[in-house]
Amino acid sequence: METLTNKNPRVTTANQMPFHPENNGKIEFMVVHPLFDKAEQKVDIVNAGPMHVTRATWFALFALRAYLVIMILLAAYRFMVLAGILNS
Amino acid sequence: MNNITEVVDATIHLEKPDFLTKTRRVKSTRSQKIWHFLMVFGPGLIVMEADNDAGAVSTYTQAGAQYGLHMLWVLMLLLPVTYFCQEMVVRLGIATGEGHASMIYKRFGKWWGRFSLFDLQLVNFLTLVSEFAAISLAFSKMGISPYISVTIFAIALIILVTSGGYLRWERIVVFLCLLDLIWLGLAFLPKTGFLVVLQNTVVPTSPPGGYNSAAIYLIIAIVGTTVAPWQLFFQQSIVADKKLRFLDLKSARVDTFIGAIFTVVVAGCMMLIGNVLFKRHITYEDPSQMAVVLGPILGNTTKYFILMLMVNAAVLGTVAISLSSAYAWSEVAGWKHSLQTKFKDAPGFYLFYAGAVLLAAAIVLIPQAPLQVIIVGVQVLAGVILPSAIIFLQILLNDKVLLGDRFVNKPWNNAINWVIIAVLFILSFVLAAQIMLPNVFK
Repeated sequence: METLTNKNPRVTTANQMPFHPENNGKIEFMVVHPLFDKAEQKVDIVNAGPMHVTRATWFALFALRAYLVIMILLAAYRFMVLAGILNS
Repeated sequence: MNNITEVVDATIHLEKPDFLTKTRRVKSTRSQKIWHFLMVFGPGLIVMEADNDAGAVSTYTQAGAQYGLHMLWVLMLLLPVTYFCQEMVVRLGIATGEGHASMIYKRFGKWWGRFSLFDLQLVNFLTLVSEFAAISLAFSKMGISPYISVTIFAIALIILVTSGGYLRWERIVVFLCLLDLIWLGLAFLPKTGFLVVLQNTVVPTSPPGGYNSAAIYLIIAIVGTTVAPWQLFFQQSIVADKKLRFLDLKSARVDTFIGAIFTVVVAGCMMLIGNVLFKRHITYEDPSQMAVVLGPILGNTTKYFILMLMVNAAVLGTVAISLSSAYAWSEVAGWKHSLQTKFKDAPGFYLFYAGAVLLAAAIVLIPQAPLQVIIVGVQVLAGVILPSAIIFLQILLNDKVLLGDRFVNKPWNNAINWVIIAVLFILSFVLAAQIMLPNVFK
């Protein structure tokens, strides 16, 4: 019997399963659209909780945030000048 | 991979196959692979091609009109950049089944989640306004009032999304993406030599006037147009909405790669059209005016094709960007958010989408609205926000404990991504500085 190899044997879905039609006995295969396949267990991010990041990473993220806030405020000021709302 | 252990029992799906879309019976593994790919195909092409929106048409044609074929090499460099960025969200979406905004909110906390959401909503809304501005301009050149064209398109775009489900939406949008193949046909009209195009694509050449401030600004604009923050959020959301499975990862990658090639080729064709005006030293202000100028040169049919392609680009951009906003907001707010859900079951998601579309359309219809300032603002904001969005993605994709070996970034992924982040960061800083301190860069 022809079989399909599954690179991840713990995850099997409908379109990897051989199908045996009743009439001619030949092996056929089913392909199932993802929207209509049975849901698979995904990585559980709800129970995983907040991500563990180092202090250096948090510092870098805060620095990035500060950079973005300053840039957005500067841009807003510049656009208001261009739009004639503020005087340059 | 400890969390991925569930074995799916698909027996019920084999009992009643239908031969249209849900399931298909095939006789060989080759057919199985082809049909499997076709069923997964869609999100990658849509996200990539929707990025060739109205702003992109303006930027690429302007690059061709100002510098001829000298900017084609930038597109070649952007092909791997755009693919590697989007491939990461595909992996994350398939592994978690969650959207990008939801991931940031749950993994980094409410504070970071709300900041990211604010950045995305701000730049998305301004981009939406620029899309409707393009629709207004294109139809004005055809003698149709913006009050009619903008209103009709806003209503049509709301109907497209709020009715019919995911599959119908995907098919219509893929069809609209494929309409952009007309750009290829138009690019052949000027009869630019193939070898000249190939040479300028693979060998960087100095533009007329060298790499001065204007040329660098345009390169940055091309980068900002080709890789946008909303793409990261949107592709992960629709990968989750389409319920792509672990075994779909390879096909989803191919889909994304095809989309990347498609969008870069179409962008190149837009530059070739702009090159027609470069050769004749003709200048213009916006793509709709470019179409009118090209009329006597390439024919009146070409003029109308370009105007309609401009509208198509704006429609694709509007659908994708407003949906990315609605997905992101709903993910963070905890609302139901799926195109497979009916309006009455996900009112918040659909009303947010409709509200964004209607508000952007209304702003365009305000007389004397500062549209040009908004269009420039979109480029600056997108350029500023993009590197930080990719940094969050990079951190999420390095969470080996959660994602396991299969989905976590490999060392070579990280090396490529950090180079991309560094370059984008430098470009975003230069872009912002150029816009905000124009006198310094004269």
